[in-house]
Amino acid sequence: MIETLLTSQALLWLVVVIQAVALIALARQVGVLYERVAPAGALAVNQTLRSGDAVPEMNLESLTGRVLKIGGQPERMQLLFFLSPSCPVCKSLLPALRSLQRDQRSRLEVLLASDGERAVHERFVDREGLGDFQYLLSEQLGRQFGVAKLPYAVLINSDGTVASYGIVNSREHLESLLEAQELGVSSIQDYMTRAQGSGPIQVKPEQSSKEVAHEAV
Amino acid sequence: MSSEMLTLASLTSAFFLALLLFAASLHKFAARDQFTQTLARYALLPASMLRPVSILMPVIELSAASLLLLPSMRLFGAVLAAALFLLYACAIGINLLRGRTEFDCGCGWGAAGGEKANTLSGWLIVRNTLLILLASLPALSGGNGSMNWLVTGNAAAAGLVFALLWVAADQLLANRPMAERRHT
Repeated sequence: MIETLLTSQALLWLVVVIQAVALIALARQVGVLYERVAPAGALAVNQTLRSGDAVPEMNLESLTGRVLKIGGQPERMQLLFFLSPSCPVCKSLLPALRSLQRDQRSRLEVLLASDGERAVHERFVDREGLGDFQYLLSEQLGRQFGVAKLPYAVLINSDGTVASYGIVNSREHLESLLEAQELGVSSIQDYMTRAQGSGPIQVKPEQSSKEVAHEAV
Repeated sequence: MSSEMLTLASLTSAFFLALLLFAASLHKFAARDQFTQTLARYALLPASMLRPVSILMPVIELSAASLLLLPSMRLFGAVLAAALFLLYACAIGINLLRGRTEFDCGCGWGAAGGEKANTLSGWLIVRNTLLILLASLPALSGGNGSMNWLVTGNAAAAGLVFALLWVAADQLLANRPMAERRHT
C-alpha cells in the first residue's frame, strides 16, 4: 500500500517536472516566434511604378470584347490581379477575389490580367467560372507594372495613381493592399520601415527572400 | 505534523534558492563580459572595481547555493542568499530613484528576447522581496526539523519544479514587450 503511494508520488513528480520543462520550451518558442514573424504583407518587388505615380492611361479589350480603361480617372478603384492558368497559388486566391469583388463593389473593380494564348485563357475562365470578372490579355500591362512573379496585384486609386502593389500569396496579402491604401503607404514593408522608430520589427531580408523563393511559379 | 510541514517548506525553499543561485552564477561565469557591462550600466561602482566584482559576485552566489544544500550550513547559506537579494534590490532601487530604467537588469538568464527584454521596474523589487522572504524560511527554522528521506525527496522535487517554473515565468515576462509592440 505505502509502496504504491510512494511510487505514484515519484511518478507524479516526474510528470510535473516534464511538464515544467515543456512549458519553458513553449515559452521560448513563443519568444522566438515573436522575434522572427513580422506581420505578413504583400511583398513589393516592383521597381518601375511606385506608390503615388500616375498610371499611364491604357485602353485594353477584355476577353469578352469590352474595352476597359486602365488608369486615367477610373470611376472606382481598380485592383489589377495578375495571374496565370498554370499557377496553383493564383487559383487558391480566386475565392478571395470573388468576395472582394462582391463586398467592395461600390468602390472597387477587380480586374484579372494575364498574357499568352487566348484559347488557353478562355478555357481557364470557363473552368474556374470567372465570367463575373473582366479578364485582360496584355503583355504590355504586365511589363508596365514590372510584374515578375505571380500572383501579383496592383491597386489603382480612383485618381489614377498607384496606391499599393506586391506579390500576393494569401488572402491576408490581398487585404494588406487595401489596408495599405487606407493607411496611405505603398506596402506593409513601407509601413514598417516608417514606423520603425516606434518599435515594430523589421522584415528580415532572409524572410523576404524565402517568401520569394516559395513563390516562384 | 506542523513541524514536518515547516521542514518541508523550508527545505523546498532551500532547494529552490540553491538552484536559482547556482544557475545565476553559472550564467555569470559563462557570460562574464556581459555581466561586467551590466554592472557598469548600474553605475554604482568605480571602473577599477568592475572586473573584481564581476568575478566576486558569481563566487558568492555559488557558495550561497552550496551552503544551502548542506544541512549543517543551511542557516548561513540562507542568510547569505537573503543578503545577495537585498543587495540586488538596493542596486535596482537606487537606479529607479535616479530614473535610470532603460537598460537590461541582467536578472534573467538568456531568455530569448534580446537585450532589452528586462528593463528596470518596481516589479523587480517585489520579486527580490519575495526571494528574501523565501530565504528567511530556512533561516528561521534553522533548516533542521524532523528530516527523513521522504521529506527531503519531496522538497527536492518541489524545489526543482519551482525553479523550472521560475525560468518559464521569466521567459513569459521577456515575451511581453514583444507581444505589446505588435499592437502599436
